[in-house]
Amino acid sequence: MNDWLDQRLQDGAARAVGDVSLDDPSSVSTEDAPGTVGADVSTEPGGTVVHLDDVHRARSAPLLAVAAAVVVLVAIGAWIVTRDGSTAVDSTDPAGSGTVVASVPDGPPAEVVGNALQRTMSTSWVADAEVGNDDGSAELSIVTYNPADPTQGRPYATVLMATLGSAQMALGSGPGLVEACAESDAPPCRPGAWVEDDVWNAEDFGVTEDEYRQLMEASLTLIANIDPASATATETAGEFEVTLSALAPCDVNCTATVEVRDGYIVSLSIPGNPDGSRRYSYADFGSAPEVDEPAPADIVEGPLRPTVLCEVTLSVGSAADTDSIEARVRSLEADLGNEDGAALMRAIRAIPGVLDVSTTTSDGCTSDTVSIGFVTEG
Amino acid sequence: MQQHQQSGGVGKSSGAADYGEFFASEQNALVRFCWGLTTDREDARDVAQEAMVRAWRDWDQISAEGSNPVAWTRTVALNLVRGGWRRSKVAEAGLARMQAGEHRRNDPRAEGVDVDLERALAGLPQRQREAVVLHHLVDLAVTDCAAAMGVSESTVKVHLSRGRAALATSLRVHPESGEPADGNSTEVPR
Repeated sequence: MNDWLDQRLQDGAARAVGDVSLDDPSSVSTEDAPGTVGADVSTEPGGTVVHLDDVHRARSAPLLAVAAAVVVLVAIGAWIVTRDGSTAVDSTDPAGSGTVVASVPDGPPAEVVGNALQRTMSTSWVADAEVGNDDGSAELSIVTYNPADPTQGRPYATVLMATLGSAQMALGSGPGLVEACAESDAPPCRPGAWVEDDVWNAEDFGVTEDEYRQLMEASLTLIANIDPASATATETAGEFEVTLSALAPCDVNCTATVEVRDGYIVSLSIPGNPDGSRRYSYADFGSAPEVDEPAPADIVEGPLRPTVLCEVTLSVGSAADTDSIEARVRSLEADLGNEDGAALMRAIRAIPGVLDVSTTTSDGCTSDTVSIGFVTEG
Repeated sequence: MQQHQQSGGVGKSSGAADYGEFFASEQNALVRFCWGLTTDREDARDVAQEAMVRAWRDWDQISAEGSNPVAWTRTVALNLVRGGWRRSKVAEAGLARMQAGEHRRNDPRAEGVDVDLERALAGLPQRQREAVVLHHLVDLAVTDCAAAMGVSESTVKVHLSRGRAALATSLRVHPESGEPADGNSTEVPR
């Protein structure tokens, strides 16, 4: 290793930790392994198995309180599933070696109002899929809760954040969720809790702010689309197939394939939507610009295309020639196409005279022609 | 990092010796890896200890032929840090409010710690820090970093590029050569 950063890190690590001497766990009982506060919580009969093996050692009272709260919340969620009585969950070894098949009972139909977030919030039953073991194997539990009554079950933000693995953080930090939490006193929405302290930003995903907003909006849309009144899921070697029904617009052959790696959902595709195949790849979403290799072409067409621009609003100075700028946008659109909305956004942002660019959700975008609006500043 | 090569599957009783060898050879590297992720010595020890406990718990499985207990344990540690990070940030926010102005650690500079490096690492977004530590400290190839992080290789490259640039800026060195950016000193600033 000749790299300066290699050397600096090696030296820094050596200075910081020196030669350590951990406790050899093979010499002590693993029943009460030091520092392990994780637990398997299960309900009977036939209840949800919730695996909390990743509950980290709590070295202080606040950490222990948080961990305990998670256990309690999950237990409550599981209790609701059992209490409802119509949920059938069959789980094998909680270590994740077996197949988990779960179903969520019929609930009140999704009420489509406005955007995806509103729709999700107004849906009484939400399915929460938890996946992932330390060894890379996966398991799935379906938990339902009732957001209409925050005293029951797992509150909204927690459910969302537990649902999408790495992509959950985008949801957790999104303005939509912040707004939702601002109107709620539910535990995870309290000021200073998850939403504010647990923020991932655009930089974490390697995307611009606008791209990040698109990702978030697409994620919210996706959440709405996998909030079925009925769902079944089967684990297949790190890949879940989630069959959705009673769900609009995915009302025909709705099967979502969720790829799980190391406990994180790295892609989710819904091939059965009425207009054909589409794929969302969270982990790869941010790989378009500034890399040596082209980004995987796995974000595709359809009305839910997360990277296709439907509408852009350009902030310009008062003296800007909007006609000229619009012509330039059209030219870029013709040159670059609109399949990679992120690239088009970057190009638009670079047009002289354009101070800022924002975009609306791509949900429902049926035209490949970008709608252009102007906001004059100053 | 020394790579522990595990031979065929063994029972826990017969595998204790194998585990002992694995533990002895890997604990230092694992703690250093965890330090890179947490930039906190005590957190690093805790996470590494927990990962080792889990490795022992599942040793029969992860020591089977074709398995890679080093990568497995590293992934466990990474997941622990990811989970613990979230909780600790919430907890630390509360502690910070209660202990306004009070330092939670002894003076690390007096202990010979590269404070500037710790601060620079801590300032990186989590994924950038993970990529930098896996690639530059653990010396994993980009492909292996991608597998460990659960992202694509190109995503790793993005994080590496940005993390490296951010560290160079924070440490005031040239991003390629590592020489002091001001050119007035031959010593890498710390």
